[in-house]
Amino acid sequence: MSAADLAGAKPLSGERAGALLRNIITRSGVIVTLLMLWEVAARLGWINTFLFPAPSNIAATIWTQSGPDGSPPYAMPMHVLRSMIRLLAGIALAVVIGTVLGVLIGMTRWARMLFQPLISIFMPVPTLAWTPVLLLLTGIDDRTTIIVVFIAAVFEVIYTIVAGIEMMNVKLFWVARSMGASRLQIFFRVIIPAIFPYLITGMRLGTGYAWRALIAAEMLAASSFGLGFMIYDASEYMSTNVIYAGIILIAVLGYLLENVLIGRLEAATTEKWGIQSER
Amino acid sequence: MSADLAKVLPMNARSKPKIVAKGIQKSFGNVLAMEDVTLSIQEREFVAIIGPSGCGKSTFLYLIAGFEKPSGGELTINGNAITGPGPDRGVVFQEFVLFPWLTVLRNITLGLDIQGVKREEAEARALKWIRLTGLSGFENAYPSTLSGGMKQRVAIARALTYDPEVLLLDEPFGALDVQTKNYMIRDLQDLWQEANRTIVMITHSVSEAVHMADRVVVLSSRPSRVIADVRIDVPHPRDRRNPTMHRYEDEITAILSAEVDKAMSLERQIR
Amino acid sequence: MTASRTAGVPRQKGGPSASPSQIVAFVTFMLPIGALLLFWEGVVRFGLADATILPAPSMIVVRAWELLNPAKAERSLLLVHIGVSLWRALAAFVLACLVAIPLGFVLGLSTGTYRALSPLLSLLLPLPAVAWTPIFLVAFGQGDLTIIGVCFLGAFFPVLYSTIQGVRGIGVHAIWVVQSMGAGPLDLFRRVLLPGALPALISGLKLGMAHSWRTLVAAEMLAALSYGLGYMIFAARSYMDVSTMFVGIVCLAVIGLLIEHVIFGTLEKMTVARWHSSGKVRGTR
Repeated sequence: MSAADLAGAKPLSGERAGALLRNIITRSGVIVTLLMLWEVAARLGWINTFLFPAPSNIAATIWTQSGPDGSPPYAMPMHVLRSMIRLLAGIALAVVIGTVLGVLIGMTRWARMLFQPLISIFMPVPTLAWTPVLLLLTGIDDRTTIIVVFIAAVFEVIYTIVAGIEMMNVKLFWVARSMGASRLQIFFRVIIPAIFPYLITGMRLGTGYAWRALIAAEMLAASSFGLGFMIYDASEYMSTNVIYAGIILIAVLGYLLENVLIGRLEAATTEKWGIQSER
Repeated sequence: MSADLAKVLPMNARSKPKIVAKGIQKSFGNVLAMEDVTLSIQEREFVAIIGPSGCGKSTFLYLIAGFEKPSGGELTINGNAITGPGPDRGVVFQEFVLFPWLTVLRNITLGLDIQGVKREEAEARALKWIRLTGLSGFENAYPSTLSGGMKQRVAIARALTYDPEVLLLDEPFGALDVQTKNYMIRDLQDLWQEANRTIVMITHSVSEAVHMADRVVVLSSRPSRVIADVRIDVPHPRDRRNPTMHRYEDEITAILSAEVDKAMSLERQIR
Repeated sequence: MTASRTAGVPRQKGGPSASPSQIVAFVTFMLPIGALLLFWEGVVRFGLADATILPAPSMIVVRAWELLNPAKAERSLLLVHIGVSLWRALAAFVLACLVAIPLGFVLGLSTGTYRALSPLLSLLLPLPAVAWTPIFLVAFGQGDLTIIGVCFLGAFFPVLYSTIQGVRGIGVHAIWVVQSMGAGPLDLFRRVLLPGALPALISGLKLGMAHSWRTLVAAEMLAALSYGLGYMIFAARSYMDVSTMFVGIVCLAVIGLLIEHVIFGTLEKMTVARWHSSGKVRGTR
């Protein structure tokens, strides 16, 4: 018994929950402390409350703008929803096109010779520089922002997939070939599962870039909804409450998207496939 | 002070204790790694410390080096309590820990550079150890271009060049393949004699310990204690085929495997 | 790390002193690019695309020449735009380094502070720097202060993050080795921490400068009053002057590449690369 204690047997679930709670409290401790200091400083008039409105005011803004009293009603969820739809559409496009291009570049000589030079001249262009051109080509609608998201994410997807194919064990092909697999079968049964973890990694990195690009593109090219539009529009009316509300939402959503949502997916696939040990 | 004293003293002063550990305890969080390790290491003695994996052998070495602090007990060098790392104790790690931005020569003279010794003098003092470790001709190479065995030679030469009283070897051949390791053990036999100082070596290989050390100390599995202390009475240079050495190897292997069996059965009980 | 973004797909290099195989590689590299440009030119010339929306490459070159105004270099509009943009991006980058590198060393060495601040950092890291533009606009209005402020934030986090990772990656054994030689804090910093963190630090600087440059475009579009490549591109939109927009895009890409490869490439060759490869040549006498 005492030996079991020494070896660090699994603690009780109650203790575990306590540890988790403690962890959350200590992890968010600095953020909470900063917010409280900010609140106090704002209330006591130590800081300019126009440029740094109290967190409670910002929270109140988020609350009213999320309800029927917002202008327009339910404004906040609408902005978030619109940004999310654009992000998802752009990412989906980047994943499909990026996977096809990545596999072609990784597997065939001609595609490598054709696309590699083109990619290396297009990649150094700052994504947002395309925005004015796209605005002229498509006008102020969702297409511009979706294409910006696509451009921001697609290079990362291609890059990780090509890397994934280069990491692949050639013997996997040999085994499949010796079993008489066709090209299509090899694509769906060998290549896609083998590069899947890399695809997820590429998606995570790509989503990070895409989120940044989307916010900026919405500031430049959206006419009614989207978080980027919301904060830029607010700057014209000098409503700093709304700007901070937007920044907080952008930060939290960006964190959740990249680290929690796709991060979890990535951890799960890497663990299941165990590519860490194969590297 | 004591370094000068050691040089003056004749060889028969070996009975003088250099490092003394009394009832050393060490715990990490609520895991007790070491309970009551008591050991005395004499001046200019080559002691190998061996034990089952995970028994805290390296931790003991880090305590002597002063990188970590004991949770209980007394640990002294020349009668003074160890409070932190110092240039009287040189360390060689299993994974070499060379500085990739320094050439072989600069890695070796680093200790003297830090102590402010002039570059020419530092290089002159390094020369002897470069020769004895067989590194001549590689002075201007960067570590990334060397093989594992060569890297470990650099780490050994580096630790000897700034002239510490005690040399602490943390599984020095643990990261090498078997052939390189056997060759190094043979090739470096003269080096330890020439170094002529107190050496503490952590190892998990019985033959390594028996071939190199004057004394082999066996630690138990966690929480560790000293369970055997064997003097290897074979003159240097030692020959691999010497039957006396095989008897020592068998003896220590028997003690060690009994300890490993005990630890394994305990682990099964817990599961 | 997200360094792969600027690392890109490996590209071949060619030059006057290149060997035959390098020339072949250069030609095969340029072939698809040339084909694309020819195809584009053809599409516009044969009227398959509207030249006012998609100008042919030749028209873009002509426009670039006009903007460059090489006859009167002191009044070259394009050079002014480039100069202003470069100045803003570099100022923001240098300021970011001055704050981020010392802070990165402190956070990298003190595990407690790093743990306490890491939730804050992980919230701020994915936040696009451009999102701060409205606050800067409210505080400072349009102009250099806002643009440099936004670019500063763009460069700050990559440099900070890389410095922290670099310091934390050194490993306690390397620190122990010099401590056991009797090194003090200054020796430790000079001989181990700085060179040990340098590879990560350089890639952080590279990333920081790239972020500063990329953020600059958006910031200039939103907040520039008169000059800068971003302003040039955005202003050209009002006149439907697509050629000028493409000139700006090409300038942004080329300058970005030059900064990455010429400045940081040289820096890497002088330090990190030397430790890991050229020693081979000089290794055995």
